[in-house]
Amino acid sequence: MIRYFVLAAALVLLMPIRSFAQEDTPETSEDLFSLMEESSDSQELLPERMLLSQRIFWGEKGLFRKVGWAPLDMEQREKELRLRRTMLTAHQFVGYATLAGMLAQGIIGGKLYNGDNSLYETHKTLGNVVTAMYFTDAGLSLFAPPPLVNKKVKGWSSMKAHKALATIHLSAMIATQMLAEENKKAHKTAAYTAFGAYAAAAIVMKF
Amino acid sequence: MLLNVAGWSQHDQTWVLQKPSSISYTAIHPLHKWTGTSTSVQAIMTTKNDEPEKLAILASVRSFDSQNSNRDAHALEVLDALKFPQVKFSSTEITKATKGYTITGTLEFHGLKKNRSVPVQFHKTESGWHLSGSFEVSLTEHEVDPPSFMLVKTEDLIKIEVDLTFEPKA
Repeated sequence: MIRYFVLAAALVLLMPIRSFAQEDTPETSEDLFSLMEESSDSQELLPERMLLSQRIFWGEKGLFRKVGWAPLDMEQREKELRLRRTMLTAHQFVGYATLAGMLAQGIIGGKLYNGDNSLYETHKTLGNVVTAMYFTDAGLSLFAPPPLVNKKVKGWSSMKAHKALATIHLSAMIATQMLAEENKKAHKTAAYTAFGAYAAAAIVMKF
Repeated sequence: MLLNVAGWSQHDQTWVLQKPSSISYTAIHPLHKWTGTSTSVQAIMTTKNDEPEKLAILASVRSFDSQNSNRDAHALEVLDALKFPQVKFSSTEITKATKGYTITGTLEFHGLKKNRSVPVQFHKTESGWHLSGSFEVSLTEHEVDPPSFMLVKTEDLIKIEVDLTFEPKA
């Protein structure tokens, strides 16, 4: 009888210790994940910072949200990020094609500048094609859906350089068009500036 | 018996991450290579008889910073970060090797689980444990399309480096 009593008492004493040990000792490593805190990392669908062109169309209160074309939810954002990747890949392709067109324009323009007027129509037509490609390329970048994150980076970065150079080549492209008939020398200078800044903008970009 | 249970309980210990701890990846493109680091890692380790027994590591893919926001955003797109926001590793076995230890376990990356054996170093410190090691992960094995730049793709293998410091769980 005493033996049973001692055994029962031992079991009563043991049970809480055993259950405590089990709580502290997960069966598998997978169980350890349940001991981790909920991640405090952001699961925001939109970045805090985005381009004005992106905010107008894709922002929380953007045009595409308001008209119901792009409701702000995870499924839609997944589609938008795929569209963004497609647009930015196209931005690279069209950018290189535009650069090649600019180079050809530089060669033809140089001959024209030296008195070979037979290439005038070619230069004019190619100029329109390059301009159309240039603005298509800009649109692919400016109107692409915003990324998931847009961190503020201290100091200089390749993206900041890319954007600064974009301001230069955009201004130079507009000047090239405006000066085409008015001032050949200034037109040439503006065109070379546009080409140089555009080429540099492509080079400084880093993935 | 009671003593045995109490003794067993004392030998088992749970360890949590303390700072500084980080996980980083290094990727290579023919034009350059770069490293992204996360210091917002979570990890828990258990030891038995003063030897590492179980390990689980979790990191949010958003927490990796390569000092280039455009690149990080691109990385999140190729990793489908909205669908697969975390990368996880959990051990199935930790064994002593000739040099250091080998952790065998499951790496869950881009929603796909793959078994891995990773050589690591465990060092006992004054306040806990230090774990370090590196291994390579194939992007395509985890159905990640390697990102491209200037129409050239980055290399398929990325190097993962782990540097974790553990302290006793309170």
